[in-house]
Amino acid sequence: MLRSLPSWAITGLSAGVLLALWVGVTSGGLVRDLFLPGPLDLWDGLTELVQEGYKGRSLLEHMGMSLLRVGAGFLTGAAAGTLLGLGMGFAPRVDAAAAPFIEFLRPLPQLAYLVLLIVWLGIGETSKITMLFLAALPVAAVAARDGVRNVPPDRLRVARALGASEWQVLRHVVLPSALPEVLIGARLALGIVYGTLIASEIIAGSNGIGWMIMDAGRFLRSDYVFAGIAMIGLAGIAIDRILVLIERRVVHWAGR
Amino acid sequence: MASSVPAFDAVTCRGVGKVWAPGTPRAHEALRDIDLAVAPGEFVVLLGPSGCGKSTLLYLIAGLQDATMGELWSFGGQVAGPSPDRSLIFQETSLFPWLSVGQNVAFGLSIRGDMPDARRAAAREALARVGLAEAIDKRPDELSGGMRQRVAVARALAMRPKVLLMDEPFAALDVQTRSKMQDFLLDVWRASAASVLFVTHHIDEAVALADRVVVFTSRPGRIKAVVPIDMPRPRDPFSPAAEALRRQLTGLLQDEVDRAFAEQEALPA
Amino acid sequence: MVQLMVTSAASRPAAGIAVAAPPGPAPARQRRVPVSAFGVISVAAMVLGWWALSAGGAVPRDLLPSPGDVWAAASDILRNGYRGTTLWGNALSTLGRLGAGFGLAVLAGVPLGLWMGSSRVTAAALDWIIQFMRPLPPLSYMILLILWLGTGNLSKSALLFLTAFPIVVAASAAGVRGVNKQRLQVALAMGASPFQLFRHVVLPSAAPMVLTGLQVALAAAFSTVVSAELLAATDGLGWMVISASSFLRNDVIVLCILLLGGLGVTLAWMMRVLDRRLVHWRGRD
Ligand SMILES: Nc1ncnc2c1ncn2[C@@H]1O[C@H](COP(=O)(O)OP(=O)(O)OP(=O)(O)O)[C@@H](O)[C@H]1O
Ligand SMILES: [Mg+2]
Repeated sequence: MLRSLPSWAITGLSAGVLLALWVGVTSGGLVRDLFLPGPLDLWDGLTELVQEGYKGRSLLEHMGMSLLRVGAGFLTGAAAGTLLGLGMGFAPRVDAAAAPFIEFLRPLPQLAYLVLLIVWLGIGETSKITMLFLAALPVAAVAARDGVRNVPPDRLRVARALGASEWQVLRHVVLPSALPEVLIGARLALGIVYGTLIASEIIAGSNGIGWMIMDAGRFLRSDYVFAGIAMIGLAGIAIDRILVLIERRVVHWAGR
Repeated sequence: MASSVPAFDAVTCRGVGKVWAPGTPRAHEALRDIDLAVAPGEFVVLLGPSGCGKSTLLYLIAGLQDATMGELWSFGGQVAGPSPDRSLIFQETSLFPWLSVGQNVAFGLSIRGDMPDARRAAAREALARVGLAEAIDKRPDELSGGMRQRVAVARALAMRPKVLLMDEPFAALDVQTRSKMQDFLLDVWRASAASVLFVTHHIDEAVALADRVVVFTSRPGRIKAVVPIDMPRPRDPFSPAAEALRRQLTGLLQDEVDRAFAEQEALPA
Repeated sequence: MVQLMVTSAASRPAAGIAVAAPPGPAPARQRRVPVSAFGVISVAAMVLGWWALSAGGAVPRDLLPSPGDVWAAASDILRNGYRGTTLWGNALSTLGRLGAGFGLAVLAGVPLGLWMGSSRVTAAALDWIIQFMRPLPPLSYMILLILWLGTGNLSKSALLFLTAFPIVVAASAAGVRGVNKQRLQVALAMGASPFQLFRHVVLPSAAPMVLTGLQVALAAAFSTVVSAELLAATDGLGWMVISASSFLRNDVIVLCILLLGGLGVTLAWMMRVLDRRLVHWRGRD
């Protein structure tokens, strides 16, 4: 029977079933509000947050602070990482020298070095942004390096055969060829930076959207926690979309 | 019901039609009124404009798709699904990269449940027939494009099919390799006594290979003309007879290609 | 996004594209100092710089412990333990949580993803949930999980499961959707049953994608397990870091970071070896 339905109808049906379950479980008193607020409670919590803010700051302010940190850490880290990665792609020696650190940093849980950064730089913005910088750097570097390495050799030969100087080859062939991978790396780095920031606000924050859900959890305001998680999810999707749009603009030729 | 069972044909199509996604807004008629009989051991080439349903017809004969109209028969039995009697070979190498060349050739046999020893022996024999006995333990990516296509032919031959269905098998090859592959295919065909249905866009290829050329109209595909070729093989592509055939087939095809393009331009964007 | 990890996961040894083709005497120079030496030199320089900064007194010892201090801390902890726990015990609890959460995500996520990839109905019913979960930073669930399951191991393993699960499912489903149609047709035409089709064509075709998904998921889960331990745990390497920070034991923090980095590199390397073993045909299409 389901097979004859179009996909959107099945998606709608499955969302409907989940919603019905949610309403049933919460309004039937099977689960306490504290564990799972009902849809209406959640809506009330969300409007309250939007209208009154949380602990002296509006919701937008909390969100804004988080996004500013993400922006600062991501832009610096991705820029530095990309430059380093391009260098690593061009010059085997730079690659050999930098690779041990990049390979070490990449799988290292970011929050572990946040603790050290807090000891060195204090609990303020500097330590957080430095951590985000270090989170974005290896991801962007590896993407840029692979982007340069994966330039089709024929493309380089053609350009050289047409009499391009090494600088021109770099400027007109290598960089545009590597750009799609650089941007994919940037997108990956942005996702990691965002997740890391939320985690760091939860563990060691005093404001921001991540701190907000942590604090609300401490006061057992699960409606705020749920609303906050939904906001975090939506913001995550939004910033990812923005990067996809930029990607489409900049590398229109990479549409396969 | 059918008036008589066509017991002696390798393939029989009677009033075959195919509509994709019938009864939906995306319904799309690919084939209409196909009547065609292929004799055992006959080499038939299907020629027609792109999108006219040549591949669709091969799928129907292979039993991978059901016809929406008409009947399909093969050696006295109605086609009701895939059968090892009818093997399919595609344009791109559809070899499995996770298997060795030998395992690729034996794939159908292992599906059938043959024992490993028998499989390997059959694979070796089939590979020998395509001149690649040495390559049995190689990986597909170690072979050239032409060799890979020969492995695909060996994979089909290993099943000892009575009908070989080939969908533009040499389209991805360069001109020299293709002409070698054509000679090779004719040898294999003669040795195996199988019937071949061979789809191509190349008129030269049709003239070099076919006992009969079936020319299709543009969408929906119908049979426009059947051109028998009774030149002895090996054929001289520069003989006056070949030249005349080429001219005839080109003329038949050109009308249809023009029509197909005109239709596409008339479609709302 | 997943694709990128393939190229980086399989990054080859140093082989730049030699944009500035070295004229004349360059090859001779290269022979004198092999490229790999630059790696050794840079790591040695780093350790030396660290040692000079800390042991030389330019930076207070309690802010930046010297390599010697870290070494001393390591041997002390190996011999006497750390606050009633051992280094191996902590490493094992971190790995145990990781293994439980990630293992469960693989056991549940791969079959579900394969199913979603082969069935339109299942995909339509469940894909939106997976797509919603993917951009959510995992630690944001942690608060709910603590609320629901308490601060014990269960909530942490659940968190790791939720971290890895959407990645594994999405990659497996994508793997199945990418199966080459002609390969399916060939097997069908040879009379393969649905099970044989799945076993001999769909599964091997999807395997490279699935394995890539597992690598990405394991990396994400590793990062998350340490965060979760920082937030709420009584053992594990993350707990050691946060505990050391409250006792101002920077030598222990640095030791843990080195250990975590080594562990991360090892895990990634193991996954790559597994990948090469299991899908030796990767990239050979
Ligand atoms: N699985 C399918 N579902 C719906 N429509 C299909 C399907 N396969 C083919 N068609 C449609 O049927 C028509 C015939 O397709 P087919 O592939 O048989 O053409 P063809 O003659 O082999 O073309 P070409 O020479 O380009 O290979 C086309 O219009 C195509 O869009
Ligand atoms: Mg076709």
